[in-house]
Amino acid sequence: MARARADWAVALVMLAASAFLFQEALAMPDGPGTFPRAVALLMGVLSLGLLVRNVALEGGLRGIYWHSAGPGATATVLWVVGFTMVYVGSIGRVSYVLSTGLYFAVMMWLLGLRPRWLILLIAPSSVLLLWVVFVRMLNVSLS
Amino acid sequence: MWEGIALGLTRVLEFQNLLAIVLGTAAGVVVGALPGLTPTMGLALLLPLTFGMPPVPALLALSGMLAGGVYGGAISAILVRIPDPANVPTTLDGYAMTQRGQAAKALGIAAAASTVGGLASAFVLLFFTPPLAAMALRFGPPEIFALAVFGLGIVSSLAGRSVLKGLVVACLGLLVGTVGMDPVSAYTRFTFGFFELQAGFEFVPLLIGTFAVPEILRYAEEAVGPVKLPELVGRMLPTLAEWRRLAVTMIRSGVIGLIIGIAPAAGPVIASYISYDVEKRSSKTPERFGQGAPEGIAGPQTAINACVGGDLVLTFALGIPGSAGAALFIGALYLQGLQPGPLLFQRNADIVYTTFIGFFFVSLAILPLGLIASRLGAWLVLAPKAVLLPFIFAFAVIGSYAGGSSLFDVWVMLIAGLIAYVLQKFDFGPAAFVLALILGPLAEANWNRTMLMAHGDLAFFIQRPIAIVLIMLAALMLVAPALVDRFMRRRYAGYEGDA
Repeated sequence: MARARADWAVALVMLAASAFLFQEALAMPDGPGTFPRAVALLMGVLSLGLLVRNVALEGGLRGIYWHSAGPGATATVLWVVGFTMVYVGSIGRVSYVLSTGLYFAVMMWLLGLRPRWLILLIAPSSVLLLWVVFVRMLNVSLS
Repeated sequence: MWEGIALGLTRVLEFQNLLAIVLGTAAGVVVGALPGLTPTMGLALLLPLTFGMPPVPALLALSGMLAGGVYGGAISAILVRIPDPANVPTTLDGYAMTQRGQAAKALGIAAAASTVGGLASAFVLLFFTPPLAAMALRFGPPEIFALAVFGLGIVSSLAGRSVLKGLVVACLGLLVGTVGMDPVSAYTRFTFGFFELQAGFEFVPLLIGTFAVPEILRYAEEAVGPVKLPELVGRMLPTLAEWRRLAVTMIRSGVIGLIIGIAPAAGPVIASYISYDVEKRSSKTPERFGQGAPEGIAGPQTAINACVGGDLVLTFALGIPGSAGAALFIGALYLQGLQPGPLLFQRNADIVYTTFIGFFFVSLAILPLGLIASRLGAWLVLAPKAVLLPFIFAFAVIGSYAGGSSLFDVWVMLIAGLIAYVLQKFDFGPAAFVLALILGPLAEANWNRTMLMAHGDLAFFIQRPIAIVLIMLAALMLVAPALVDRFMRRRYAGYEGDA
């Protein structure tokens, strides 16, 4: 993914999104539907302009590339995101405290924190800190 | 106005407000000093913590985070040469001083200059915003619609390197802003069967997603190698003689920062480069610049901090955010049930003036807190990513959940964050999305009112010269940043802009 030619692809996605939203807005009555229709149409025109600029005027499929920070960077982001999604998905099933504690411990381990006792010290302390701030001080209900 | 100032002065001295200033500024310095993290992310994460606070301490804590974060950026720039875009000029002489064993002095000059710049910006905020708001009070629906369009014109300055891309993202923001029940007809739009979207998207998860998640993921990407922390030896604060020598630099750079801060198409990066250039050109010994000239630190730091308040003038007076940080301030005002814009001065003058007076205190707090953070907290730049990253992400998760106690909001934050991250990778500035999200409902409501007043006749605008001028300015705003960017790139090698 280091140098994916994707500027035009984003424009294409935006064009598809605007077409879909325009169609949805067409089903709305005049009044509440007027503004979304106008904006979706404008978005479509602008996306088309972007597409044309990239494909036709700038010589083929040249464009802004995926700015990767280095080898392995994209993979790191993917597993951080993936693991965070698993964590969010587990909050409703397991308790917040347990899922967050596990999230901290596994992430710290995967990001290279050593030795193990340090993780066992920091992970519960971090959960406790968040719990005190949000549950005790801000009265956020985690149940 | 003077009654408001007197009231603000009294209220700001209350214990909880002073505490909010100190804690907010300290947190800002810490976040700003961490390489890879920015005050904008700090503001986004602080937002859910202000849920349970009264408006004044909430706004003061955010002000502290913003101003403290701006100074904090100088710490990593000077000590380990890891600057954010605005602090690139500071690095030239700051890091040179560090290499000469004068890191303590460089940090002291940066803190002093930040304080002076911050005081200047507080002055402008206090004395320029109320008259502008008073003028805007006379606006009717056509003018407010035109004002929203003018605000959308700012998209170009938040759009990264392509206005076209900024406009596409702004359209997306406008459409997301229409999700939920239409305020006039109660017709539900774009909810796709999600009951949670009946009232539209919650603002805080979207803000955290747009501003914090991409930064967290960028932070995850960066391989920050082992850095050697320099020793801080000797006096930090400038001596009286040094203050005298730097006074002209600070005044000159303060004025540059204020002008650029108020101008909606410019920001701290431009202020920083221009002030550095002006100082170098004004110097009798320009060859010292880049070798550790104190003016090379004092100039950009004063200008960047002077920008902060200038940037908030339009935000408070007209409800138009000129930057990502200002958009987060608007978010905070909404969270507190306050309507940003001219009516804020009529209905909640006490809150506004206390916040403005608080800006003076925040600026003054930067000096001691910045020096303490520099001395004791220089280790911050060494904080392990393995601890910070999961903590910040977990904070973003619970922060998104806190407002509505709904996991749906957490998913909204995550998905918005991923979209913003990918869009940023392709140079689509996500700040334009938030700006449109804020201004869209304002534009739609006032367009509908205008059309009712005009019986659907567009020629009605001819009778409203202010509205026409604002719409013309919006058009001008679309091209101005591209011209400024071209000028800056031609003139300053290494200029990367805000993108």
